[in-house]
This record gives sequence, C-alpha cells and structure tokens, in this order.
Amino acid sequence: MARVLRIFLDDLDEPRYGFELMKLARVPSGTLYPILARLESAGWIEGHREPVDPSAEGRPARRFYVFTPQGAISARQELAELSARITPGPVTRRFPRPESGRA
Amino acid sequence: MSLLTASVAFFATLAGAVLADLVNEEIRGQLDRIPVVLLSIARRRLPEAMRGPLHDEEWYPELQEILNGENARPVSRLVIGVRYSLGLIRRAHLVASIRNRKVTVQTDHDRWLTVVELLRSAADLCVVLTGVMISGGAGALLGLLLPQLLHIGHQRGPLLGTVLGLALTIAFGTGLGVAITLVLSSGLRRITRRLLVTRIDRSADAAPERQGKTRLLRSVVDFAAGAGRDNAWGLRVAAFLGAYTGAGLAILLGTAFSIVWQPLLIGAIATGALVFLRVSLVTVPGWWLRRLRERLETDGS
Repeated sequence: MARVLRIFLDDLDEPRYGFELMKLARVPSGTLYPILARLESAGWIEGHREPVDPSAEGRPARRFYVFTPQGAISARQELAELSARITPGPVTRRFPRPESGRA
Repeated sequence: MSLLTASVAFFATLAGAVLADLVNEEIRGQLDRIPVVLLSIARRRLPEAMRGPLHDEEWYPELQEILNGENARPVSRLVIGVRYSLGLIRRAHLVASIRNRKVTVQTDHDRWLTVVELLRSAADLCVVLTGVMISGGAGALLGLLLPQLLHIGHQRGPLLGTVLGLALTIAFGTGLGVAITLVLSSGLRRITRRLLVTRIDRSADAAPERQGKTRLLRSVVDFAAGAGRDNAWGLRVAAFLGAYTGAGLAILLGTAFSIVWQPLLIGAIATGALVFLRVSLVTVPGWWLRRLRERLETDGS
C-alpha cells in the first residue's frame, strides 16, 4: 500500500495505470487491484477512462487513476505517521554503565 | 541436374521458411489467448453487475497493453499476462466486494431471502404435519390402549356388541379427543405457533410482493396450526380422528397394540424426520440471513 501511495505522490498530476503501477511498485495484480479498490472507496483516488478512440487506437480504452486533493493530504499524513512508527528511536540503555573506580 | 537440385532446394527452403513463419504466428496467436482465457475465468468469478466496470473496462484493456504494448516480448508478455490473470482470478471476488461491498452483500442477502422464502412454506408444512401427526398419533395410541387396559370390548354379544361397541367407540373417542385437545393440542398449538416462521415474515417486510404469493398456504397453515388466528382446527380434528380410530380399532375390531406398533413407530420416525427437516430448512438459512443483515447494518453505519 505504501509503495503504491508513494508512486502516486511522486507526481500528483500524472495519471497512473494498473499495469504501470504493478511495474513501478513491484506488486502483483492480485495485490494491486484490491489496494486501488480500497483507495477509491476511501475517496483518496478516482478512476477515469482514458480519453482515446478505441477504433482509432486499435485497442480498448484503459482506466487510469489520479489522486484527489483530499486523498493526497491524507496519504501524506498517513505515510508520515507510518514512517515515524517504523523509524527506530534513539537507543536508551536499560542499565547504567558502572563507573570506573579505583580498586 | 545440379541446377534442378539447386532450384528444388531453394524452393523447399523458401516453402519451409514460409511454413515455419505461419506455424510460428499460429503458435504465438494461440499462446496469447492463454492470458485472455484465464482473465475470462476471473470475469466469471465477479458478480454480474461488476463484470463490465472491472473486467471489460479495466482488466481486459490492461491485459491488451501487456500483450500488445510497445515493450511486449513474445515470452515475457505471455508470462506477465498469465501472472496478471492468475492474480485476478484469485482476488476477483475481493476486488468486487471492496468496490461495491454493499451491493455485493445486498445481492447475497436478497438471494438468501428468496431461499428462505422458498423454504418457509416447506418448513411451515413440516411444523403443521408434525403437530397433526403428534395429535393424531396420541389419539390413536390412547384410543387403542385405554379400552384394553379397562378390558372393554371383550364381553359382548353379536348385535349388542356392535351397537355397544359403536357407542363405546364414540364415547371413548370423544372423551379422549376432548382431553387431548385440552391438554396436548393446547401445548402443541403454542409450540407450533412459535415454530412457524413468523420471525422471517417480519424480516421480509422489505419485499411485500413476495408475501402475497403464499397467502393461500398461510391460510391453510393458520387453519391447521393456528399461526395467526389461533384456530388450530387441524390439530383438534387430528386429535379427534386419531382417538376415534384408536378406540374403534380396539373396541370394535379388538385390535391389540402389538399389531399396530409398527405403523405407530413409522409415524414416530417420520415425525422426528419432519422436526429435523424443519430445523434444517429454517435454522441454517435463517442464521446465514441474520449474519448478512448484520454485515449490511455494519456497512451502513
């Protein structure tokens, strides 16, 4: 999920296609499409049909996704929180080191 | 000779090359069909309403991009296409349920409601038949045993015996019928009224058009077991008929219990089977329906 969000956040205006996201995020289709469905249900991204003429292009129109403004804000917040959670904090010693004294 | 051989060899090579190219093309075309066929399996796993938006408008165009895009290579596109389709076969239902979770659950709910509606009639019939068989069976059993226990029906002459036997049969049958109606049928009526699927009636308020179809059956059930109007004539009639039959067999024909125990046992087994059938027909689908309704309520909130 984080990898997919990161790709969207890299360029907010860039429309992203399913196969392209699979390649960039290195996730299989069975993982990617549930993620896209969840993001779309949450209103973070929205899907549109590619504005092409299928007969002229010789292929069916694909579906692309872009971030919604609110989705971009929420995704940044969530990624920042996730980053803070998984970043290791400063190492604290449980036991104080004994002072070196004279025997 | 050598010119002829060279010509033949040239044309043979040319024909071989063309043939190899055709075969190659054919194999490539057939191989490209594998991911498409696999994706059609994923399509079949989707609910009807989601096949267009998910498969036709999204997955299939992406697969075409994989197979015919700029970077498509003969082997890699096949491998990637197959992996793409297999992943979606595995997760098709999940994607559909996330995309349109409420619709999916609602579809399941409506389907189960139809199933429960269909089973309800059979389940109600089981309850009514069980009540009738218990009432009638109790009447027959008591009608048969009581005269024998009281030693009635053995000491009588031919004519007087018939008249007396008839009178005694009517007297015993009526008495037992009244007693069973008062004691057993009242309890049975309460049980059957509770067991009749009235709770699902209320839950089916959302589909009032379905309720009209079984109105006749509901009337029969009401009449027999008293689900609505509390008449329960069926149970009373069964109790009286059973009592008259049992008393008649014992008093008029002198039938011993040992002769009729087998039909009574079969009746008892059939009653048990009806109870089991009723539980299977109502409890399991009803439980599943409640679960779907809870999911709908959770989604709604």
